[in-house]
Amino acid sequence: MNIRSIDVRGMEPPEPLETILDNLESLAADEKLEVTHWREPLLLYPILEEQGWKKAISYNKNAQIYLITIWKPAT
Amino acid sequence: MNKSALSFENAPGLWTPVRFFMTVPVFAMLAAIVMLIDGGELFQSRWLPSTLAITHIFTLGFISMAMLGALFQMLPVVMGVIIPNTNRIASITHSGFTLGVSNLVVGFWLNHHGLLNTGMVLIVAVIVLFVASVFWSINKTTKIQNTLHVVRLALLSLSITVAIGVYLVAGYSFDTILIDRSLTDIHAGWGIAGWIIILLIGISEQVLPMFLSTKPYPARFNIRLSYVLFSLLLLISFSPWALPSQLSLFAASIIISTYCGKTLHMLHKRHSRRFDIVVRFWQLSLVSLLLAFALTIYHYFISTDFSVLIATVVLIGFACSVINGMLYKIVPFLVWLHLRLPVMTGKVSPSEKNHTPNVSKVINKKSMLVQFWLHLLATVLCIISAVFKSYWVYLAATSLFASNALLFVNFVLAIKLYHAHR
Repeated sequence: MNIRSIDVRGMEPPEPLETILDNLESLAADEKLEVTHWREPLLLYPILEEQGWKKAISYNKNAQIYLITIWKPAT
Repeated sequence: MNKSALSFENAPGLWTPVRFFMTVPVFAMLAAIVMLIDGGELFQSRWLPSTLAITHIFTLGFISMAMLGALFQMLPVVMGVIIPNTNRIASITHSGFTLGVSNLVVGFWLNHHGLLNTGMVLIVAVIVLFVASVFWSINKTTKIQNTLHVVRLALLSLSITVAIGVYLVAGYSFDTILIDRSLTDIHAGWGIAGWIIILLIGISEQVLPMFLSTKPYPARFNIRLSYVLFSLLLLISFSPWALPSQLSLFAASIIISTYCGKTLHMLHKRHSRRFDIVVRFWQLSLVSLLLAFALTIYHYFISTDFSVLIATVVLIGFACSVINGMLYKIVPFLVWLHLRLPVMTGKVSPSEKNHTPNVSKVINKKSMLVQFWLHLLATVLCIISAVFKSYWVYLAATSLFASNALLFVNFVLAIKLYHAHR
């Protein structure tokens, strides 16, 4: 799968949420979206669930960043 | 992941936190009215009925009211803590707290023991309900962020402040109960350094990078400061020896100054160079807190009573400024969120009517700027009144009223915009 990376650190709410959702709209079936964020976007999760997206979250303790990977499961 | 994750069904509604925020400027206007009526004598002593009333209007009606509202929003959305029946608990907390604070402050003002005791009972009941609900909900949360440890310390501090407050009010109301006046300082210490400052240290770890585009605080900076500050408060309150408690007081001043210095530096170095009025509110707040601690140390050495001046700088210059500023971030974001979410999730189809306005347009920028200058003027005039007393208090009260009337109007217009686009 191809990876599309975006960095939403330094964006002021609601820009991170809007940017992530805009990118998901144009995400190809064989693409994954990788989001770099200062914190966990808790408001995004119920939207992802409702729209049928899958997600994986990892935290880099040294860099203090969250990496959220989002993709659409194959039907 | 968190088992009790946020869903739209358990997310707080718009009115859940906003009802608290709308009440905040109303209490400040009430304080301005008390100042206009009792003006002359107001800043003479901390023990006067009107001074006690105004102090509690600010600490409870303005500061704690805003902090409770912010927690109802931030606990689920930022920290992943779901409070069951959040809308109902918020409604009970808000009505009980508003009624309790109103009774308490009128009781102080008119020296009416019945009102004072009724107010105290109501405040205790809602704080017990709120603290118990939050602790229960945190225990159900599987992923505890650092900020949640700090929230727990702040809520413990709030409980200690209220417990000492109950004892002091009982002593005030019943002749049979003797009160130790030194407990008043401990009550104020837990309220200001424990409840207000510890919560601010915890919350700022989340909100500064999020809303003001700063870099994050160094890892574990905020949680370490909070634990040290909490331990120092314990030492100051319960140490039987004078020396450790004096040393603890200086250590607490150093801890709080370190937090102020670090935060001011982060604001100066923030990523975005765009002018943001909320940064000015934060800067005014942190500089006021540094001034308050310089005065506390000076007051300690020269044994002149500066307590009214210090309280004025802390409550109006520090706490009201940071809260006023943060509400200008939180309220527009909530209006945007509650208009946008139904469209994002496909529950409402986009149309001309429900086109979501840009978050920066929810409250007029010029109006926020004018309100900042009015708030700054009110802060400076309140500080001058605390030093020189006399007629300055009437000017201070007028500007305080004007500043909070405009804050209230700004919130009303934001909610009106929400209804227009809904």
